Amino acid sequence: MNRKYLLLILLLVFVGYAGWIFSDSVTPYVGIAEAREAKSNVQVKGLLDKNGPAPHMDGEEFVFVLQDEDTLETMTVRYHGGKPDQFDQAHHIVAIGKYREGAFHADKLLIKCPSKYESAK
Amino acid sequence: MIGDFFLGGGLAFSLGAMLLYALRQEARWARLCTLLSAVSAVLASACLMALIFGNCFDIAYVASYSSRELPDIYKLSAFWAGQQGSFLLWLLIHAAVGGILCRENIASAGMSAYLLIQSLLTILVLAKSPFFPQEIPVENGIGLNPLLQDPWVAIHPPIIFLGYALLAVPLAYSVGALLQAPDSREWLKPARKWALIGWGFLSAGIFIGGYWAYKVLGWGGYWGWDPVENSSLVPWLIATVFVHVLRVARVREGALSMVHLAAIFAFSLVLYGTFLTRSGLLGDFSVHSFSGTSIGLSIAVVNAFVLLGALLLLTIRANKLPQGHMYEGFHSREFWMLLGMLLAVFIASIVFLGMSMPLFTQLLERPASVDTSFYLRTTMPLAICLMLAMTMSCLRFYGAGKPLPKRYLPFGGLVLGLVIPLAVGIRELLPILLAGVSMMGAAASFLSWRQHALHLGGFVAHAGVGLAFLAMVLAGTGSLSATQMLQPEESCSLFGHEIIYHGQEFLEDRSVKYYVYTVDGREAKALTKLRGNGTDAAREPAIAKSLSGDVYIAPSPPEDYGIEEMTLKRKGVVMDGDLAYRFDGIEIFTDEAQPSHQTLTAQISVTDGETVETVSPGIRTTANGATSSPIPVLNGKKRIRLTGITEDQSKIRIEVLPSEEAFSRIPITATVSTKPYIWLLWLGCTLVTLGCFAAAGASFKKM
Repeated sequence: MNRKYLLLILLLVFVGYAGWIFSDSVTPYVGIAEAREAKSNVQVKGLLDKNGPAPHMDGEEFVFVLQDEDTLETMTVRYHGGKPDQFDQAHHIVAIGKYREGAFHADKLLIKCPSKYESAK
Repeated sequence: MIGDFFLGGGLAFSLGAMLLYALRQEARWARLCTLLSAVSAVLASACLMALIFGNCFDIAYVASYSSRELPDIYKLSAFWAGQQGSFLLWLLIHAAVGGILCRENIASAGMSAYLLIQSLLTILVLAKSPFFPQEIPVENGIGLNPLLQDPWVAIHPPIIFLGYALLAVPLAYSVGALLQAPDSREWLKPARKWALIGWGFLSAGIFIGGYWAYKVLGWGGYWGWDPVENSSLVPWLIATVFVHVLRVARVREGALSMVHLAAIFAFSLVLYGTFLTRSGLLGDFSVHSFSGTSIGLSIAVVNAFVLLGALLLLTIRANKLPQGHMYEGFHSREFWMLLGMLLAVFIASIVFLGMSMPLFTQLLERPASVDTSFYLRTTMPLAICLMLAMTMSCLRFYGAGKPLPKRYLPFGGLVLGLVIPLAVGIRELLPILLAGVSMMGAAASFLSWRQHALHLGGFVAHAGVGLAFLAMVLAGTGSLSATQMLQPEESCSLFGHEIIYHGQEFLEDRSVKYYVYTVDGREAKALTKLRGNGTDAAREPAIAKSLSGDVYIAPSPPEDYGIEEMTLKRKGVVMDGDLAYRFDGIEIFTDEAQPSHQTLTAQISVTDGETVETVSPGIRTTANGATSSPIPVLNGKKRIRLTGITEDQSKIRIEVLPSEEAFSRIPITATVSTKPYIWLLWLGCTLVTLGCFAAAGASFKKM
């Protein structure tokens, strides 16, 4: 019986551990206004702001301006890495990261192309 | 359409066969109906194939995924490039397997369940038929996405779907047994044979997908914990549990209920994964972007129906199942196997939870997802325990008995597995432990095979798993990465490798260009497929392979193309540096054979002060849109591309591109990473698949 309890305890410990990591890694989907306030990692979806400065490389970072589709608010995004594949055909851009010091620092960009796998309807 | 007619016929036959089997009428007629439904599926598929190869662009599906120029091999893969076609492929495999299955000794209730699934699949295909006509007629199709024009991804979907479809067979056996002979164990052998084949194809499909992502997509790795990838990993894990518990149930009656559970969940999770990825719900969370219209709801209904129906059946018949202990003491192999299966179920649950987050949170109207570190941090400790359980079960026999002798061999594996990552420079505890125990598992499976406690297939597959985990640690944790600006012909030293970027190289027909590098003196090229107008369509990474691992240069376009845009007024002159441009006039050519095809050219004079040259860059318009390509001027010093004309033809917009020579010498920013010993991963994965098929082959022989 003792061993059964041991297994149960181990299981509970693991579930607790998984729960903790889980709450730590949830990245909510937010608008630009909320992204500026967020303390943890978030995902922001928007369009490339065509009126802002053109997307360019600044050192090792790729910089562009993201515009919220609804509120038309804009925010500078600094992505650590090169210009992503198919960025120019992007329909929507999803930036995942954290806002600090006047810019959104993205660890990952998802480029949404309507024609990537399904044809545009 | 004739294709829909075959689909409808197939549906009628499969429903008929289902009823005949359910009523346990004469098996001959039921079998005939099953075969006819399979023939209908083959004919419907042949129809779609003929439409694709016949360039019938009046069919929406053909117009969306094929084109006149598409090479034949990729016309074949255009069949399953879209949602409707891939469901038809699934149906085809399911129905064809049904034709084989009806000759086996399967309970008629099981056949009935199998045909029910087939009918549901047919309805899914019909719900959004691939034979639907195109509303606006076109002369040429859009063609297959260039990223998908690769041999690896061309064979990936059919192999995955083979795995998916074959997992329905053991489910049919399970349902048949539950309904007709709950205490029988006769069905375990044929069910295990089919489960092994299905699991083998699913493994191969996932591995091929990972290899394609690494080689072609250039995301930087073979696995990104993307929802689409996870949705195939979860059923694979449960199928892994399934093939193992099927073996345990042969010696332990008590495990039968678990066999049924695993059969139900393996197939239901296949459906769930299909639902999640095909419904468009993940559109904002997955790089695979299956956005737009979908048949998500119908798949969800089918999924719920299969899962709840089968679970209800299991609950009702549970008391008829043989009872008994699942294992005999802690020294029996089955105890450790069951423990390992439990761990695999844990891993599957965690991945399931993570990949379903977007769905659950959308229901709560607070959309969110988990980042990829979640998967790594939770599954790694579990994977270590799983490898320990694998080692222990390899070293033991079924039932109570002594463990195998010569146990110093696994310890040797453990030490080797701990030392290798340390030597590569990894200093993190969990990855080193994982490498250690996975090599211990590989050594234990070898010992077990030598001592005749494990078949050859089992040894090969388990050793493959060990090697794959070791490689994941080496190439994952041991990977170094940096984003670096590379000047042409300038040597750059990174992570002990000498990298020189040589510029871009164009293929003669302009369909492809290469970014050329040399890494430690060996040439590596990154292929980029180009569109008709010269812009990038798909980029692949450059990979320099060697025994100690790959140097992986992720694709990135040059930062500055050196392109200048200008607007010219008729007869107006625009100066740019040393050159002056003047727009003289416009000519329009109409193709007499095809009036919708038009070519518009603009006469532009260019001078550098000494010579004057007139060029006529043009825009060619067809029903599918416009294309324009750059025209060289002044001996190729510059290139001019026409990009727009105002309606009154008074103004044009042009792009002035630098010469090809200058263009190919633009510096680029590249993300360079090392992938130490990644070939071990391909080896490990190949071994898992081969071992799996060897085990399936062995179970064929025993029949």
